Amino acid sequence: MSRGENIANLVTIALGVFVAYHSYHSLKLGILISPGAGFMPFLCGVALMVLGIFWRIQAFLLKSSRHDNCFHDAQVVEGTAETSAGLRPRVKLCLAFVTTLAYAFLFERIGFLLSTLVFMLGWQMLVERERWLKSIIITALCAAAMYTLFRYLLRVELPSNPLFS
Amino acid sequence: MNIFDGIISGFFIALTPGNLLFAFLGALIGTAVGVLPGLGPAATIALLLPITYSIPSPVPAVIMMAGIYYGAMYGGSTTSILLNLPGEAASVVTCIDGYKMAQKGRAGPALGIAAIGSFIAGTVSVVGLTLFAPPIAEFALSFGPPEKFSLALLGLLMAVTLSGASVTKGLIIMVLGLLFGTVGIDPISGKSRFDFGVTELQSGFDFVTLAVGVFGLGEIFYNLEQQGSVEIVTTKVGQVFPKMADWAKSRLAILRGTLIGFFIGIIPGGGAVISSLVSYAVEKKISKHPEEFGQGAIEGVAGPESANNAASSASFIPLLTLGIPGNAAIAMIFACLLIKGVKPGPFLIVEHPDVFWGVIASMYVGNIMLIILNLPLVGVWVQLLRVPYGILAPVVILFTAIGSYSIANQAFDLYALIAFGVLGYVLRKLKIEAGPLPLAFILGPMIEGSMRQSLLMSGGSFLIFVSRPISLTIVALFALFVIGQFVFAVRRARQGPRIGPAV
Amino acid sequence: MKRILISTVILMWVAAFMVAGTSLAQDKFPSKPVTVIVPFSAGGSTDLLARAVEKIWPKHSPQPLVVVNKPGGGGVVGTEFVVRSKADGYTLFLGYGSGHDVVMPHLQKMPYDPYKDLVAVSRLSIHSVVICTGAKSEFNSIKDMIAWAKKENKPITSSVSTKAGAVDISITAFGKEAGINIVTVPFAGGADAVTTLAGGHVMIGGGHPSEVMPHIKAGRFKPLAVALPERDASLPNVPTLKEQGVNVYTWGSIKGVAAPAATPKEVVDYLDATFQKVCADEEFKKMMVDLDQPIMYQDSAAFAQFLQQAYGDYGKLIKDLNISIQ
Repeated sequence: MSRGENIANLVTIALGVFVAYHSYHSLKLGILISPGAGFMPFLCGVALMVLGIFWRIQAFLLKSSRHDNCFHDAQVVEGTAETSAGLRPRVKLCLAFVTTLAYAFLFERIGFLLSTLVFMLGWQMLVERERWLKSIIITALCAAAMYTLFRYLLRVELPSNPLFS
Repeated sequence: MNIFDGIISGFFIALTPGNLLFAFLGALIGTAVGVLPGLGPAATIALLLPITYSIPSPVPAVIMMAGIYYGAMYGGSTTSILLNLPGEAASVVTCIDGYKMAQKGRAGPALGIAAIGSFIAGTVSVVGLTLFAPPIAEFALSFGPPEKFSLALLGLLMAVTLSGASVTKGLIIMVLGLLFGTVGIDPISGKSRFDFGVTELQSGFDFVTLAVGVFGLGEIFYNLEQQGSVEIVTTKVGQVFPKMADWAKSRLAILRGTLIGFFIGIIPGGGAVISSLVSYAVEKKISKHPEEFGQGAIEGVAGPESANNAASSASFIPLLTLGIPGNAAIAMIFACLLIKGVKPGPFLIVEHPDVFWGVIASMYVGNIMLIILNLPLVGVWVQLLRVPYGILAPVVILFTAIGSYSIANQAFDLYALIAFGVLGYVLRKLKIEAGPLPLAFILGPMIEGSMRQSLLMSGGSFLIFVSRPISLTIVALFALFVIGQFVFAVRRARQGPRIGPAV
Repeated sequence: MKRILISTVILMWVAAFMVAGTSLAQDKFPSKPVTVIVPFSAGGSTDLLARAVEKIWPKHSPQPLVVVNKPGGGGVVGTEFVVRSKADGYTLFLGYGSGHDVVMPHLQKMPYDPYKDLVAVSRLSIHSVVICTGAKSEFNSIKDMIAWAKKENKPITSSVSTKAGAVDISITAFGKEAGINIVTVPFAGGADAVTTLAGGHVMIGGGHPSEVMPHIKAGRFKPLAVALPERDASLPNVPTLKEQGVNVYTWGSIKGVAAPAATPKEVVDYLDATFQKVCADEEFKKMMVDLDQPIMYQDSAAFAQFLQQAYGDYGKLIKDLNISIQ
């Protein structure tokens, strides 16, 4: 089991425990003629616990029944992919994530158009490391296109800038 | 007026220039709506409803709205295949093999087969609608809570076939989906579950946000982490249309999908989703090379796509014959008819035969228009994939974000979208198939709700699920399926352990 | 130099778009379309009422009405949206007086106060609760049903639109008053509940006239009683529960229009007057007959008072019957 899988497995079991407990205590299981709100979540929680443990057992069995080298190879291959590329892909992903999060944060606060501009510009410059002129051009075109499409053609309700209205 | 007179008169109505224009407009708008994630046909029809007030006759209005409705079905498969973005529940299954085909450079054939399958399924089910509408509608009524429970459970079982290599992990994902489905106010008891004090969670998560986040956004996040430039179309775009071999493989899948979709689609509620699931599972089981499923098997696109189109055409049956809308988009069409003084129901065919036959005839016409629209567009769509990922990725994110936001106009949905994207990314990294998640999310509330309703009806007795003929049949199918799996697994174990590549 | 020029041009273009997106100075109300939020899904009885009003409104006002559906939380999501919107009269709530306004506050905590945070504009209609049974059912009247239940000593199953909604409360109240055991089975809305009754999966069902009339006309349903204090205008031949010896009534689901509490009085008065004109409109009357919904207009002040009374009535009923979300 790789490190990621390990964490995921533990999270699954923990989640199962939490859900089962919460369903039992707060949501009530009800009686058979009328299962309560907690019935289904409780079953899900228990299922998660059981399946999580099962997963762990399967991984354990797999590990011990295999020759150690094979197992190691799989891990090593994954490791190489990560280390040889350096940090750049990881950084790229983090920047993309942060930029998208910023978009969500700004969307209602500064309005659709401005936040789209910020997002696109940020993406081009930070994630893609484009030159600033090309970034601005791409940003302007995309933002204008999206604005036209959603505001005028589809008449979707989108937040406008509170500073102006 | 017998059926043939009706159909002929219907065609006279549908083929007038005005109505043809409305049909085309509807098909066009519908395709656009289907391609854009988040904007569903229901919302679009609602937006355009006031425009229909000024048109005196109900016929052109309904023709246009029907066009939007199944146009959206055609369009939904486009983004599923190209970008792993399902536009709605029924398109999720298409993502699984469709996107894989696109990654292997076979986006063209995938889109083409989806369009062709949809056309055949749509046309055949309209024929079915014409000939068998009233008795089928009555059949649909006999589906009460116990039947819906059994059917949804069957669907869930089928969803397990989407789980890829590890069944355990697939089941975990499925249970996770079920859990996500419980968030919000429980309709049977009125209690709010897992909302942790956040008001927006009281109405639960939205399907589009979840599916698009896990599939689409997750895919983008994963791709960004790959070194080198990401190219969705890895080989030269030579074959844009399906080859004869593709067609040979798919035609039976299309036929089966059509039948499955037609019958399951009549049932109000999750008709299209369940039918696409059942079709996928059936195709995988029947196939001589099931290991291809999940890796880009064209039957995995042809079958479910036909099923969901057949289902969406079939969902008109309860509307036109019983006056019962089966889903949100049909409900809007229902509202439009009522506003215009036309009461859909058993008397529709008598009181307003022009509406009844006109709409049905326009559905034939509409299907033809859509295939004419969509097939040439396949080349265009595939070209779209050549846009540099540095521009394509953020634009897709923008589209999905705006689409998600427009569902309830709350910023919360944006955060939820990102959170689901992270979940999708994690699943991709762990090489766990995300397919069962959105499907369990949709089916869970159906299963739970119908079960509790049935128990209330029966006074707590579980016998209700087997004492009724339809439910019994479905349960029997379910049992057969499970037993079959078991026998198969035992037989495989008996053959002894196989020395093969690592799982 | 060239770069700066190009950038400036682009930025100006962008700025132009931003300016285009702003709103202009306010004129006399209404100077732009008025949004009406229906906190229920499309095709339902409230939605249809809203769309009928939407169609007739432009005849009596310079700006159109735009109906937007915001379902969720039994009506709470859409209503909360209106509560939190700007109190300028351009965002209204149609469906004021439904289950989530008159029943729900007695049973659970609400994110807003339906009476302090909203101002009543006009009452449009009342959707009463009609108790029906399938055409093939052995019950022909309320008396038959009560007699059967007492003899067989088995519960009667009834479909209702939502848990603890107006329909659920009405039917539960009826059961308790009549001394029989009725098990209410909640569904995802009125259409779902009525369809289940049409399929014969439950013994009786409660619904609004607009939901059950099509089935009655198609010969699928038999109406047994209506739960109002007096007969419903859209179903004049159906006796009330009181007439049949069961002394209980509810106001069903009241359908009116509300605006955020801080809306200026002139705006509320204008809207009220226009709704009154719409209700008197001949075309509107015809549409409402087609929709099987009675027109029961009441002006702002009277409506507010009526709502308080209805709210109190429901509260008393809930307390007497010991109803809760367990």
